[in-house]
Amino acid sequence: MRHVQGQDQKSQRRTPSKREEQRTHRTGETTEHTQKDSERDVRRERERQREREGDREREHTRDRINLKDQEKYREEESRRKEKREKERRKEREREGFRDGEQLGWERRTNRDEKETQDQVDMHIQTYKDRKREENQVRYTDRERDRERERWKEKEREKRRKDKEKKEKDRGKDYDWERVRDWAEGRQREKESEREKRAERGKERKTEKERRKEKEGSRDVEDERREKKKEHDRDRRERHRERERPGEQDEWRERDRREKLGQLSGPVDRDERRERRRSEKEQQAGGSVGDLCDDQETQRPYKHHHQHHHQHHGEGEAVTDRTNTREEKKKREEKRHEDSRSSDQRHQTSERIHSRRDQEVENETGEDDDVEGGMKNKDYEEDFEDYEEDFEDLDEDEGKDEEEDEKGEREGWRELSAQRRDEIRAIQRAMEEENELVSSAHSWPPTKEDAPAHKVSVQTESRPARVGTVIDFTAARQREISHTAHKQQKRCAELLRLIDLDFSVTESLLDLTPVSEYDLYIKRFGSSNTKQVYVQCNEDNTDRDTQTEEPDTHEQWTQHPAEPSAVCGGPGVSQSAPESVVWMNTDSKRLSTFLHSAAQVIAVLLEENRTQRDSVTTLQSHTHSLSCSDRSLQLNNNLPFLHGRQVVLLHCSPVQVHTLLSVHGGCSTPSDETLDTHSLLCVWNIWQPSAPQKILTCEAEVRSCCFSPGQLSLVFAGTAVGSVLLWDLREASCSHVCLRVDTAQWVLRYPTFSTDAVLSGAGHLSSVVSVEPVLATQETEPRAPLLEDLEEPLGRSFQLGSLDEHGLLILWVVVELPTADDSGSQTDLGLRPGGRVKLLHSSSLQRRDPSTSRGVGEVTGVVPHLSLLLKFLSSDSNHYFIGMSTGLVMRGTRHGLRAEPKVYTPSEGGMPAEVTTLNFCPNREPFFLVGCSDGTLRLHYLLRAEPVCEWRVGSGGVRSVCWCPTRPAVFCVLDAVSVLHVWDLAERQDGPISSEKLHPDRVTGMAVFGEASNRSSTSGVVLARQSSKLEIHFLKQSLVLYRPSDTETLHSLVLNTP
Amino acid sequence: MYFHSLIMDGSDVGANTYLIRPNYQHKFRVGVVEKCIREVQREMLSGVEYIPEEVPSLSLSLADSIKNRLKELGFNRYKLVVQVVIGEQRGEGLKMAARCFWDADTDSYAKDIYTNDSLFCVAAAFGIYYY
Repeated sequence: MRHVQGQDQKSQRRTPSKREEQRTHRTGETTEHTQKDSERDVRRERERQREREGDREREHTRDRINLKDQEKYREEESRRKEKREKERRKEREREGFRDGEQLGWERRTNRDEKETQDQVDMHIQTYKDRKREENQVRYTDRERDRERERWKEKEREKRRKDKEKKEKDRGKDYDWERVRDWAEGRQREKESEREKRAERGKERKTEKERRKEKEGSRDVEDERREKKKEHDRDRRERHRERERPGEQDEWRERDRREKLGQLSGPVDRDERRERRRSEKEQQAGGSVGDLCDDQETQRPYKHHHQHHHQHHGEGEAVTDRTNTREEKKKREEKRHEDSRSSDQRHQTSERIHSRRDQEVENETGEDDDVEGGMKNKDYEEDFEDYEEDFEDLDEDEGKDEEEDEKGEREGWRELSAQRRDEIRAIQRAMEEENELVSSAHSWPPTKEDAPAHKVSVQTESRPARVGTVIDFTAARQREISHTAHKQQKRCAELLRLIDLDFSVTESLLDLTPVSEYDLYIKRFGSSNTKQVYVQCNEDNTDRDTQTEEPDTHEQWTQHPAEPSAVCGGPGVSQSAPESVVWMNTDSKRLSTFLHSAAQVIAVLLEENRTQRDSVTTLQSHTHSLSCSDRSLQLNNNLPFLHGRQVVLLHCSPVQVHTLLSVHGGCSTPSDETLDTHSLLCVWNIWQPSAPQKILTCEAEVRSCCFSPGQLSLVFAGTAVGSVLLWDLREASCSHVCLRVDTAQWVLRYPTFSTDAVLSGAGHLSSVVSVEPVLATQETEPRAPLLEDLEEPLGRSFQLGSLDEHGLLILWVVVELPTADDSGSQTDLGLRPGGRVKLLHSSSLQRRDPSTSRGVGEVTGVVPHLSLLLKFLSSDSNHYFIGMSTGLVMRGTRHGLRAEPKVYTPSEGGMPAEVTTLNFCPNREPFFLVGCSDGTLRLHYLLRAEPVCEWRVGSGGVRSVCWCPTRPAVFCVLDAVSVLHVWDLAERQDGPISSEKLHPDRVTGMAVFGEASNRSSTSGVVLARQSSKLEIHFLKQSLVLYRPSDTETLHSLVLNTP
Repeated sequence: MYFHSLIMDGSDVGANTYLIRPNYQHKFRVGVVEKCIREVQREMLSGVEYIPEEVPSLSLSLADSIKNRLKELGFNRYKLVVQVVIGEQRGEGLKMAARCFWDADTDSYAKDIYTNDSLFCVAAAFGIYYY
């Protein structure tokens, strides 16, 4: 309501008529008017003062003594207030307003004289004050009484001060009466009291006045006034601030009313405009103005006391109004203690009337407002904060509506300087903001158009307005809007440069549902499974590649390993035939090399030892032999050789260092089976410590010999008529092993035996002699050792065996290509694993009837016994058999004839058994025959009679041996153990030396030496009775070859007839 | 199924430097990001079983660590959005898709899927260039 009024006033100022008004104001009338106003102001001031006193400082206000002073204050205050109002007005003008409208208005006001403004302000102020006073009167009866008193006093003062203005005094008297009457009329019970009080007050005031008049000085009171003024000013300011929300509330009120349809918007507007116009007119009408003003000033009082007085006769409209007013006031009285809203309601109701009654309404409405504000100061304090929030709303509204602006301006006027500064700053900020947001925030043009805006306006306005006090949200929003604006701009610029498009819908995940079966298999399918195979070469997926089948070969192996056969199989030859062959040959050569090398080394070691030993042990023996220069003894001191006599000694004609000794059965037989067996020992004379091999057989061995070309075979003829064969090449492991003490001896049994196998074709008597027969006649033993090595069994040969009855059997020695460990079914004589056997080739029965008959006839007692068999070394088809009659039979194979058939002793001699028969080496056609009667004959092949005949001792000749290197030298051992040595070159009638070997008799003798190598040594092996074997090396004179020896022999033949 | 996404600023937004294209070395490289995602997934999910109570925090931490890892790669002026979805593997079918409104020249995304017997995890990182 106040806004409306304010605007009215402002519009008055704006209109051209304003100046007229101003002019009128300048006249005395106007001054009177102002004085009247000031009078009212003073009243109001008093009222206020009292209110303050009543509410807060009752004791103080009741101090009647000071009342007069207070009145004076109030007068002063009213004036000063007016001044202040003017100042404020100016200030505000300086500050300027938001709206162009406002600015325009401001400009206009600037142009106006300040006085006019002051007057207008005064008007407003006085109206307000008056109104407030009314309210105050209503507030409490007591106050009203006091007010009345004060009023009277004031009047009196005024009268005194302004004596010129009688009209006013009158009016005031009226007023006073009116007030008192009205009070009486309304509250009967308190009336009397009030009357008394009023009178009392009058009395007091008159006293004061009197006092004042007496003193005439206001100096002291001025000070007090000053203070009070200040105090009042502060309070008023506060009050103004509070008032403004009240205004707003009024707005709302009005809206509500509009909504209710009490007043249609347009109508309201029109009314307002009319009002404005009328006011202008009023002001324009300078002469009338005085009266109007007067009327106006008195109107409040009028309607206060309406039922008593109708002085001015305003007409029906006035009466209506007064009626309604009365009602309203009654209501107010009831409600004056209620909340603020009720006040507002009252105000609004008042406003309704005010619209109908244009002239008066402006003033009263405003007064009402002010008064309400005063009344409800306490309540308002509670709402202070809240109300402050709404300050700016008004300002915003003011933009759109003039009414708002005016109300605002009124508010402005009453603000303190400090406050104003603040608000100014805020306003400036808001103006800027509004410029920006103006487009966005479109304000509703009128409140009427937006009936539902009561709340929405509040909310909408808040963000913009809140910034005035402490508003972070607004600041933030401003910030946001600011940045948003920037971004928007940026976006607009950038979007021209960028193409945004929708991407293809990209599938992030695509899980296919798993079927029940798969799920089951996934969970349980893997149980009870195992890995069957692994596939290699996984990356080669196009081929179904599996691990290849392993290569397998069938092969065998054996233990113990044979020399060249450890393992074998069908595939071996294919895989590495070359290397195997190479290895085989290599191993063969290696084995032969080792064999020979080992022999050599062994021999060398043995030689060294025997040479050392011979120095000491054989000293005596060697010296005993005149023909020898040194000797050595073979160590036959073996456990199994104890007690055995050496039966035979045989030296190989080819390998001179090999000696075969035949040991007969044990003389003192024990339980051991071996004792009955014959043992044959193969010696190497250069290894005298032990025999090379030991052969054994069950029968008594009567004769023995080596194979001609090689020394791998040993043949023996036994007393039981069997021919035995030993293969010395057989492995020792396949034979019986005899442990004697720590040493091991291998006893080899015969590889082949003719016993029982060939019983029908074999010998029936003891075999007295076995002799190898060389196959070819041209064969000459030039390098027998080398030949043997080259072809071990290369040359096949025959073996001749002769038994006592003159049966000569020739055997073919056959070597089997493979050995059969399981033994042969056909050849029972062949030992299992043996490879050499004898095959019966032919048999020859000795037939020489003449000689045998003649001898037999002569003697008639002794049958012919064949004792010796020799093959001619130069021609093996010829054989010689020594007979027991002393004759030597010459036979041939294949029916050849040869002369002489019989070699006889010299004439007149007694027949004696031929004990020995020996051919001269080096193929000289001579042979020596020894007989049991001690005669020794030298025969020439082509003569039947002997060339020479010697008589050696009495015991008979036991053995005769040619020296292999010298044909003219031979050794003869007789039965009494005398060794005779003949050297035909030296002496032809007798031996060159005869030496009797005692005490140990010599039972056997053999001579070794190499015929082809004439420089080699030669020696005599003697077997003693104590089974010692001694080797005596012949002196060099006997051994060294002399070419004259053969001539000597032949000369002997020529010498003899 | 749980869903978490985190948005963060790639770097300070330049004032008025209208860089319309990122530098080559700062460009969102799908291969590098995929590798990074895979590493983080392997680290955090290997041997993990689907436990409904724990998976929300797991997915959150996973997204967080992927984001932090991507920050180190220096995609300047990129806004990165990391989305992690962890679900239980029970044989159900599932389809996930993404569609973006963006500048195909600069913006891209990388994803990787991790699955084990009990869960699957889809982690997608979107890089949006900030002009």
